[in-house]
Amino acid sequence: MKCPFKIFFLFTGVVFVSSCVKVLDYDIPEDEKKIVVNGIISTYNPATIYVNKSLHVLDRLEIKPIDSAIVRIYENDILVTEIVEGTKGGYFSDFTGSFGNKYLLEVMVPGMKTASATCILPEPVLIEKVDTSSELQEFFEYGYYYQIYMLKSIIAITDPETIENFYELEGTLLYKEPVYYSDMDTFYITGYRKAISNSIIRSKDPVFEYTIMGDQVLSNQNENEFIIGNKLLFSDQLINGMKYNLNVSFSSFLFNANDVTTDSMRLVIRLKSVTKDYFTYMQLLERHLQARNDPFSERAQVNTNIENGLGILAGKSESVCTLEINQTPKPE
Amino acid sequence: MLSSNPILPKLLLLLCIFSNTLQAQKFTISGIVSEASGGEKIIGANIYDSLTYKGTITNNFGFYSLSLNKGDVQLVCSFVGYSMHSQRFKLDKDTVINITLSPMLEIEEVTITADKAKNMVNSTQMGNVSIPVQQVKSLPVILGEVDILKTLQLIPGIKAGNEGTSGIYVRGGGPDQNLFLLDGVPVYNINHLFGFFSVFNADAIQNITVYKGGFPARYGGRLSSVIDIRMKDGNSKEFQGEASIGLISSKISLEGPIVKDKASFIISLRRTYFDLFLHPIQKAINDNTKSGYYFYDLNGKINYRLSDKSRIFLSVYSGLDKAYSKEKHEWENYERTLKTYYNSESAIYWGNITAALRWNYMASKKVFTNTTLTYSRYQFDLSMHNEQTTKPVAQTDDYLHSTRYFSGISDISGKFELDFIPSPAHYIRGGFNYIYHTFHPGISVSRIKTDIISQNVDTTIGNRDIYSHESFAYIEDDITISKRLKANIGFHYSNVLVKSAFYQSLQPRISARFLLTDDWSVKASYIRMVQYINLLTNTTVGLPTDLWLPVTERVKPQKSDQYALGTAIKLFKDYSLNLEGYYKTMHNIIEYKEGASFFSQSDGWEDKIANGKGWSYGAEILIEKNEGKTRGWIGYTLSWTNRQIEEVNFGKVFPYRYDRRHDISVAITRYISKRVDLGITWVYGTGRAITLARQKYPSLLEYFNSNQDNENFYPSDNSVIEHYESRNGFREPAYHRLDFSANFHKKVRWGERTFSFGIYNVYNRQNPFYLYYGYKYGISSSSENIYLLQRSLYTFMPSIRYSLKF
Repeated sequence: MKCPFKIFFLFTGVVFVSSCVKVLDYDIPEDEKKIVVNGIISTYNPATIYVNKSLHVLDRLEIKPIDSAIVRIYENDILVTEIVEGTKGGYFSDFTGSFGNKYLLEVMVPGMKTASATCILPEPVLIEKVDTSSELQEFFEYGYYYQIYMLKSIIAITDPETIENFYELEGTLLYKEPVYYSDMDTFYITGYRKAISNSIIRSKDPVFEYTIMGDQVLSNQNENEFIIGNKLLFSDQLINGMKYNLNVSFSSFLFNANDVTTDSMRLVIRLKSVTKDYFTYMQLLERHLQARNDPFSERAQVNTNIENGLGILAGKSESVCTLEINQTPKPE
Repeated sequence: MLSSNPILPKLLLLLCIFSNTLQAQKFTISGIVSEASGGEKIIGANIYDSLTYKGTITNNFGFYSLSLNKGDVQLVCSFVGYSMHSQRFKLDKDTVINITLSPMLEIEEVTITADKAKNMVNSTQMGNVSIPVQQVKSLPVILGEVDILKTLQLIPGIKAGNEGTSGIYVRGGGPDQNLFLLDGVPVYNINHLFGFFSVFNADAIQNITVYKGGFPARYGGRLSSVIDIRMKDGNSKEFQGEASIGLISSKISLEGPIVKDKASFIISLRRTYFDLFLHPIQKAINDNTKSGYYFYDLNGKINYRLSDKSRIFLSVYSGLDKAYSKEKHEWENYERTLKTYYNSESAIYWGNITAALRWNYMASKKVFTNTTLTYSRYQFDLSMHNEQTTKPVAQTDDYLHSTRYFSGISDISGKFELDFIPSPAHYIRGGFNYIYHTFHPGISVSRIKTDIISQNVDTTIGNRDIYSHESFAYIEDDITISKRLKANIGFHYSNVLVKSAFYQSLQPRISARFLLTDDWSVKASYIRMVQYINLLTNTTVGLPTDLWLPVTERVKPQKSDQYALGTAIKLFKDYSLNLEGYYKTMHNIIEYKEGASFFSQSDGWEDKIANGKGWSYGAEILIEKNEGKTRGWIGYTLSWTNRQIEEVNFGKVFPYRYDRRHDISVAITRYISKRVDLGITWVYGTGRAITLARQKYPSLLEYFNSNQDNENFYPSDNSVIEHYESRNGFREPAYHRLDFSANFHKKVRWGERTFSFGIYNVYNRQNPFYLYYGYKYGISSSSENIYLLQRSLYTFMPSIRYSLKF
């Protein structure tokens, strides 16, 4: 149950409606503006860093990107890339990291203190085996009854015992989508092109602590319900040093789509090992977003590993397993 | 020489025996002090021999015992608000003297020195305040509702919570660290209407004593305060009653003898009636809907004197808040072959039930015992039921959704207490207590039934009941060491067993006073307190969803050590000054983790909280005048309160939410004549410490695009996040308010009637209830600006109440 206290909220609403609101003539201190750095260094994608400037809380702007920064990345104290110009705050490199190495990120903005962050890319934990089967699951929500074709998967991993591990699981669908031609009244398929889509992951596995769905990060709220998201985050708190089978189901609208050919559809299961700072950031971000609109919640501060700044530098490595969808038996 | 005179040694021997006999010639005077008009026992009355200045005070049941040498005695008995009693007699045997005191007219000039000031100077106790109920009734109140807790909030060291709420924060402690006792029974939720009123009906109350420090050993179980509230026993001589009607509630109180001077009763009822006025209006607007809110308090007590030595009491309390809503509709299909019924019912209620059966027994002239069995229960219950049915044939969209959430706590306990007064130099108290707690930490039961899904859903989510066994034993002695030095020394031992977790502690309690002069004393105290029970509470309003929970293997008992140093001076005429400084450390205190909320059932409660340490220090000044036409007090507190918790604020020290640097309270009552009295209160407090953002910036998810196979970033529509420099790093504007009241009394044939007028917040100060960032009200969306907005609750509010005494 998401909100069982409707009457309480109604009553509180009456109290608030009957109360007075006034604009407070209060000088909220103008703190020194900080560089905001959000970036990921990984073993599978080129490093991408976004640089912004923090704003006063009453500022009408939402984001203030900085394109005049100099961004440097060092690998084990050796400069490996330098980007001197940004695009809407984004600094894109062609440098890809390696696990086990220490990375230092420096961001220099004229007139501001240099911001920096370090991370060590964790060693990826291998996906040892994936067993799959497909099933149709029935759901009834909001007065509608529908079926979803799910790819149930048991993903076997062995968590290293001697270190603290943090993970992010996602599934990416590679498929061919139709290319359409329209002559006013009719649509014709003229061919197919490669496309990518993230699948939805569902699970009741107790290890999963958080899920990312689009621009939301949510904790696993109810042990009797599925955790659902594009990405599922978990730590090795329950499985440290153990061989473990993750029980998940992948689904996508594409499985049911009539005009998408499943002949060459592949599901790429990515098990990413992520840094502790990033995992903690996601944890606190979830609490922050949940609490911000709830007057009865304690405000949650979000951590940062950016020195002289705000934001997060995340480090990730991944282990990948690819499944051919059309070879998976479909339920009758 | 002795050997040559056989008589001398015999004479000497006789002299020794005689002198020893003379020295042992002490007799005990004991008895009960009560009101002349109604027979109510007077707690804390002074009894002393004005010839030798040896004295004592009555205990919680009006009993006193005083051992004096044989000979002339001038026995004096006095208590604030009552005429003094004095009698002279020759003490040559153990004597029982039951004393009755007559109430003194408030406006009479008092020629006898004020006892309250004297008591304050003489007492070893630090940090305790006794408040006459009459004084509570004469002060201005919100919406005309006399409230004991609101009066307590005017005392230095005791801070109010949010605007209008009844919660109290004592010397840096949280609301869970206060023990409210009603006739010795703990009351777990003291809030009506989300904390705007307390559950204590002043018409049923006889005495209120607050301990905020220097706790004697007989009290335990909470770190910060004990509020000991005693109900009236009921007039044992004649029937009388009080009734009143005000803007929010009406009250009636009846008391009288069952058997004159032997047995009496009192019953008091208070109820709001807003819902009764609302129903006809609702019916006129929409016959299908019925909703409302009300609360009530019912206090009852019977006492019976079995003999001169033995008395039994039965007191009960029941209180409830209920908010409800009902809706019904029905309609037919076009063909009129089917009829559909829709029924929706929601209710939220919370309340306490307490009961105490007590037996007082005077085992001897010097020994008084009290044996009590108690029961206390607090329950919160929320239910929602929605149902749609079609007849004569059920349809596919018929459904049943039913949800119930409940939580609470209940106690059964037995207690034995003994007062032993061997001599005026010692007042020994001892006893033991056992409590069986049952905790209901919150369970949700859901039922969903539809015809679309062939299976029903029936789930129970939440925590199972938890049981604990708590007990304590204590011994304390109020020792007069010399003419100037007096001390109260005691030990309180307690333990608790919860599942497999066992905790115990020995808590020393020491306080002492030294008389510099007859009117000036200095005091010092050290106490240790331990608490085996935690309250998960929202600090914004007094929510009924407050959860009482036990210690566990993970959540250890809270502990505190408090040191205090002070001085009490009886100033000229009726004035007294009390100055006290304190330093208090707290360990294993609990605080909600960041982002934790009441309404999240995702985590077990242990996962929502973090524990750490806190410390509080400050100074309190109280200047009082207790006699004469003008009475009242001015109090000032300067204090600091901080917390440090590993999982909060990244482990850095942060100020407690109710860290109010300066706190001033002025409470004055002026008796113009026998028929008119006026009251004013003015309070000022530094703004609360709250967590408010000062900067904002985009989060990582701002750039997350889930449709790409890599993490190339594209801005999305996600909002940015706020940056908080630290927890509670922002100060709300200061809180201050002036209240005024006027009471007009008139004797009528059957008794007395009173019109009470009051104004809450005379100069209409908009005090902060809640601060948030939002768009300014009324500005169109094309030109919205963000402002820091303040929501205030109570502005200028007049009130009126009509009361009768008969």
